Amino acid sequence: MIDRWLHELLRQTTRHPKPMWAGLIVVTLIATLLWPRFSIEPDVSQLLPESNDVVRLSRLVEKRVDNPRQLMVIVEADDVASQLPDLVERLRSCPHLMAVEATREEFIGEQAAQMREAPLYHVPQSTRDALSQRMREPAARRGAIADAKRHLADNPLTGRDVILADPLGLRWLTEASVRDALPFRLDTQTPYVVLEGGRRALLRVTGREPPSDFTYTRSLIDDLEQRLGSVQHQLVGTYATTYAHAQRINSDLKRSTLLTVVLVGLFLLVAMRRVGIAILVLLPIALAVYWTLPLAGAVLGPLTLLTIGAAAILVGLGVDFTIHYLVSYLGHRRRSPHAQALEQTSTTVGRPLVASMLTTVAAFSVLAFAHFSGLRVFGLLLAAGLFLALASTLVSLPLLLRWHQPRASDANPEAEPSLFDRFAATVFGRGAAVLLLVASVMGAVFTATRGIDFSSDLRYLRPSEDAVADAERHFERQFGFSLSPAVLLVPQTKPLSEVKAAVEQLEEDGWIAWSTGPHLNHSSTATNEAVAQFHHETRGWIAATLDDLDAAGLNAEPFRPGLEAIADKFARAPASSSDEPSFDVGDERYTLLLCHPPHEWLTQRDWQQFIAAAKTALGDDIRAYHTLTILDEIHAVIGADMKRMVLIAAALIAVVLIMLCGGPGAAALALLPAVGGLSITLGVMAGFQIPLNMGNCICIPFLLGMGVDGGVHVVHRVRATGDLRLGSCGVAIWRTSATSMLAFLALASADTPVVASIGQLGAIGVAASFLCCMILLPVLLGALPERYRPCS
Amino acid sequence: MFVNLLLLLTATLNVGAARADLVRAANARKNMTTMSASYVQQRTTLLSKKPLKATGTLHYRNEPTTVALHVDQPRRSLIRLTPKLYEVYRPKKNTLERFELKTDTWTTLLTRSMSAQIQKLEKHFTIVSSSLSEGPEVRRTIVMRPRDKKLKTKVKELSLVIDTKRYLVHRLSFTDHSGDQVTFELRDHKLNPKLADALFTIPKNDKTRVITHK
Repeated sequence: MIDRWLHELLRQTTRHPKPMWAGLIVVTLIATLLWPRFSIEPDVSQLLPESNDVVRLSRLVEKRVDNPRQLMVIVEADDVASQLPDLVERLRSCPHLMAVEATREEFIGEQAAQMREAPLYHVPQSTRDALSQRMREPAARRGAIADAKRHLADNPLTGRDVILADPLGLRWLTEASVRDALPFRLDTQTPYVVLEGGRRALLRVTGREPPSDFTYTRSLIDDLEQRLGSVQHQLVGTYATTYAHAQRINSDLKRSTLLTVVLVGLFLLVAMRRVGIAILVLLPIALAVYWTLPLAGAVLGPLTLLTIGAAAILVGLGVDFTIHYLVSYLGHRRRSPHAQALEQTSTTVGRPLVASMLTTVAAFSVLAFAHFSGLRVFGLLLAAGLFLALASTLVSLPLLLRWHQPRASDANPEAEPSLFDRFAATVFGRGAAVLLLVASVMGAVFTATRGIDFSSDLRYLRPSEDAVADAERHFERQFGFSLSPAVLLVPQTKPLSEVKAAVEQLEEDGWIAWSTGPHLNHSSTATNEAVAQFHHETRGWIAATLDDLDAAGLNAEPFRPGLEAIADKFARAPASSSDEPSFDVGDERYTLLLCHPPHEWLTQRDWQQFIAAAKTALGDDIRAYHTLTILDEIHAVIGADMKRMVLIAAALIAVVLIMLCGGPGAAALALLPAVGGLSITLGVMAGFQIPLNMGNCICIPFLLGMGVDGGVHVVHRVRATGDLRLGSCGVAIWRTSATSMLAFLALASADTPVVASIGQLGAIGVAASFLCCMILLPVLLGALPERYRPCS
Repeated sequence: MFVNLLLLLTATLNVGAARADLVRAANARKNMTTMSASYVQQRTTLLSKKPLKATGTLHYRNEPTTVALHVDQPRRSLIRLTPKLYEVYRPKKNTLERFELKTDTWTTLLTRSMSAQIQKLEKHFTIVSSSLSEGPEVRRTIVMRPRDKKLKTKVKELSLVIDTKRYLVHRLSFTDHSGDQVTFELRDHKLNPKLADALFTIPKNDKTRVITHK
């Protein structure tokens, strides 16, 4: 019944060309209108559901911490400090920026304000001692006053104001603490953040929108590049990473698609020896890809990182349909006129094409049940793409064949398969089949016993030779800390004195290079005692200073307000720790600390080691957040998804095969190349310790779905003809496998490691499935008693 | 009444003569790009029981507009004034105090007094009196007061002494908002000397402690 229905449907497509043309034009127009809205979301956190705990935490952190919206601008020039005022002014007029920080004070922000507000609590003991000595010891005081008098004499413009406010020169003692608050050595001659040597300066700019808003990020980076002009500079931070990431995604998408089309086109040209036929094979699939991406983008929303590979995979898989169709058509064309050959083709290939499309679509569609939207969207996109590729093949190929009818002499289907048929019939062929069987079993055993690692390391998201990664490493070398801090949430019940001690310990042990948070403003009991001691030692210093001023020939009384202002500042206590806003997660209240490591953590191992150290220092009840946390969560979600997906895919494929192959025995034979190929692939991964990641893991259900195609066609041919030789079916399988492999190899050339890994694993998997299909399956079919062979 | 009229007429004539001398001074300095002179600076202030003195060499250049005071006494220092920045560098203590200027009042006042733009001082100041003094050379003293309120909060009075032959400034004196009077006596003028950039540059030293006042 399915056969009859399919046959009728396909016959209609060949008999009514005008509505078919109209349909093709309408769909193409709709896709053309939707293309401008097509975009790929570079932010990996968007791949997880918003209800996910880690995503919720990351959103809370983003609201509170400016860090992701901060971009570091490293400027290099001779005497860079002299260029900074104009440059800073230019940047400040940028409408995309909320803030531009260029001076030391601006960099340490609130901490600097706290230091100025209550300086005695923020200076080291040596500074308190120096201040105390200057204020209480007559000789030191008189020396300072003599100095002030000289200042008044030789400084014509500001001398008076300066010495009225600070006749003892105490400002030179307290300023040191602000200067030393940054974790790198600076040129002290300029208030700007210029490194020692005076050639490199650091500016920090804060954007208005989050880096995940790519349109904004692109405008910001383009505007900044324009404003920075010819000044030698590097941009480091999430905006720069996102921008580079999006550029790379764009270039990967274009390059892999173009390379696939070129490689597959060249292969088809060589294999089919006619330019026209190669175009006939490619054109329907190119149309399907052209339709799929914008339509999927419109229905599924912004597409994810993994979508980069979609076009290449669709070309590689989609040409399977056109190749099988054309090989079959050419076979019929040798014996029949064009119209009859078309009808016969629809009858003979309709069922296996639909079966192979459905099995692959089943494998892709199960990803729709994934919690990880990266998998979900990718699976649905490919499923829709394959459906459209088959529809395009069945609708546009008959129309194109009307327009360009290959000659009967073009059909030469038996040349290549005879090699495999002959090989399968030899001892070597049987030996190779045994080897493949052993490799499949070994692969399964290896995978079961050694297991395959799943890695959610950051290094899979961008290449190590990436310019932005280089700039970040350069930044870390220059400034001694990474721009990707860990956010530590410490329960607010923990006293800040303990937090401060723990953070200092982490700094001492080299886990942290620099930290910010309320712990910096906390004064320990020892500090409070030292300040009390300071006040005790300096009692009566104002009166003594006024006497000394008088003795130095100055009129003392005008100096009194300035001295009283200093005394008032020294008497101030620091802001209480209870004034610090807490970070609330549900009912829990936390103190938020930003901890910058000396180098960016790229692997989960680095991150886990830091967490262990942080928990040892601050307690097990802390919470920690970093980009790697998102990737770790993706790892967990994918891990759970993958087990479910593979099982559902296998079950769906089995059901489709049983329905379309005529029973469980035939279905099991059709599944053999897929299962064998997958076992060998996983065995290779386990043996060579190649980890799965959030990209290449999707190959597992894909290889099941794609690998089964060849098996379906072989079983269908045996059922239909009873002939155990592969014949023209082998030609089609060789060509479809080769095109799929070429598509995956093109994808392996992507710069984004996670995308390249899909290509590498896919190519290995397709090759293994191909060998199982062309060698193992025919030998096994030949070895089976006749009653167990598939028959119609 | 006649005496008053005579005094008024004399004053008007003096102001006119002072204005004419300012124009002549501007013309005389038309081709001047640099200038150097030794100076004695005296501050008379309520803060000190006696006037305070400093001596040194003043260097001025048109482009970029900079005044550098190389102080010899009471201690070696370099004081540098540009339209946006006023810096006081103490080499012995290795300290640099930097003042970011919100307005260019002081720069305008000092550089215009030295340069061909001297007649433009009248844009901001009114000439209130002028007198000639006899001696080895004839010198004109011109006393000016600021025109607008904003300027009055910084400078109360400006006084210039220029000779009527070469039109060089021999004395520049101003009274600031607090009543302190600062006077520069300039000697040994050199017009258009070749002045190295180093004279207008704070020496680079990574160990220099810097305080910036905004």
